[in-house]
Amino acid sequence: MSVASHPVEAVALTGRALAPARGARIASACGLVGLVGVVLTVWLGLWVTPPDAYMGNLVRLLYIHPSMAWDAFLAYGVSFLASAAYLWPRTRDLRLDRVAGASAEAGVVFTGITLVTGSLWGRPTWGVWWTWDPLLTTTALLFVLYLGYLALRRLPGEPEVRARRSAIAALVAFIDVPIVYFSVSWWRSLHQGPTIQPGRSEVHGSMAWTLLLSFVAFSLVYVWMLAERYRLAGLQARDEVEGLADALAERRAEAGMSRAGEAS
Amino acid sequence: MGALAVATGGIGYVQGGYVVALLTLALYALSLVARRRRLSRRLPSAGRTAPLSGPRDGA
Amino acid sequence: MSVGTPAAAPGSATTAETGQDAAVAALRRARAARTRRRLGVVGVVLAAAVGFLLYKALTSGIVYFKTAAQAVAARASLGNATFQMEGVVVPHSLRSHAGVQDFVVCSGPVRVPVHNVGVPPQLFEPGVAVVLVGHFVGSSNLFSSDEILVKHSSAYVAAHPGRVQQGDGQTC
Repeated sequence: MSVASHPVEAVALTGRALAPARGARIASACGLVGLVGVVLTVWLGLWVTPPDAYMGNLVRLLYIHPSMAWDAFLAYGVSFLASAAYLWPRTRDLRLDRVAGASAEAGVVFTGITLVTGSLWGRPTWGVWWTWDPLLTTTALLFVLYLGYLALRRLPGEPEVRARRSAIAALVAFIDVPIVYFSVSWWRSLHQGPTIQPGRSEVHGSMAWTLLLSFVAFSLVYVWMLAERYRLAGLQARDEVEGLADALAERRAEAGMSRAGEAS
Repeated sequence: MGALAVATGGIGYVQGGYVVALLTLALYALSLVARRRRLSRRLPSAGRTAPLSGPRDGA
Repeated sequence: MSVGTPAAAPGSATTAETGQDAAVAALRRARAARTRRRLGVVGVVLAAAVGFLLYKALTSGIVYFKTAAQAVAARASLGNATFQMEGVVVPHSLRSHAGVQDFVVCSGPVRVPVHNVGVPPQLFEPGVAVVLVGHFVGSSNLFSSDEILVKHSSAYVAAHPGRVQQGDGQTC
């Protein structure tokens, strides 16, 4: 890089990870343990756990679908906290903006999987792929709202301006998360209540701890995804500026050549 | 009717659900790693060895 | 914490670089304009989707179904309009033949006879809570439906029968 101008420096500064070596190690460990947990979950879920008395083998989607929904909530929660911290003047830091964006993207992935696996579960149990039940409708809304958030993040502008409007959008989009969670108790719904509720468990035996394992395993996968996406976001921020610097160098070379052409 | 039919007929939905979930996560994870590696290569000073110099360092 | 000055701040160019920086700025503006146009289209589509989903949430979502008891109570105002009715299939009431099922659903003490045309879901059986899509016939309390949705609980137990969710109305 021949152009050691100050924009490059500025972004290299803000693009630095929190504590790169240690953070990366923790993330890798989470990813590895999470992967082992997912493999275990699949094995227990498809082969070891018994079929449900009523649902038969369809109960096996219990070890995938709820943990995806939980991960989506977790991801949006982290995005919300990071955005709120960004808007708070004393903790304002572009790295928080990157955490918020990275987490929301993971949340969209998990929400998408939640919608698809829920549909695949709904068809044989309820009898329909989709219905405008309050939980389903507000979850679809959640998916679209955060897609909008991710689109908004790509709108060009100064980094601080983008971070600020993204943070505000993240706070607004998050309003739907508690609505989704409580929709089954606020309104009449086809969907059953949350499977995991404080002080109440209706899942028994090996089904219960396989379900618990799926929550832990996929949460660790989420942590890894967040860390990986965050690192990528740092690199992208640098690339945005250094890409411009490249363009600048290119233009200079062109200008130099054209001047040389005029001279001869 | 009911459970017995599902015990045999429902497994396709279950397998479909597992495949969709795991495949999507795997593809997303792979794309993250690939994009990060590509950018790291293109930006030679990636990571904490970023060339920080001058008065702005440590701000 | 203070972060670096925004990338390519206008004041950062020295006099000698001004011409090139102006060119780069123009390039950047062009790129930004293209991104804005694309995102504008995306934004319109997503805004339409949000509007549609909000509409669905406020219409179908908030009153997803009436219980059989509520439906009977509102019989006069419902007329022959199509709506979704919830109740528990009364055990031993089911008579099915060739794509047609006749049964009774209950919600508390209220019982409603149902005539359904169509293929019920795999999990449909006497004793389960169902949501039926249909309407009352004529001025009677007979409910004619063409779709059955099975409600199930969040209880999962291996080999333990009779754990079917009761309707929002009381057990019957």
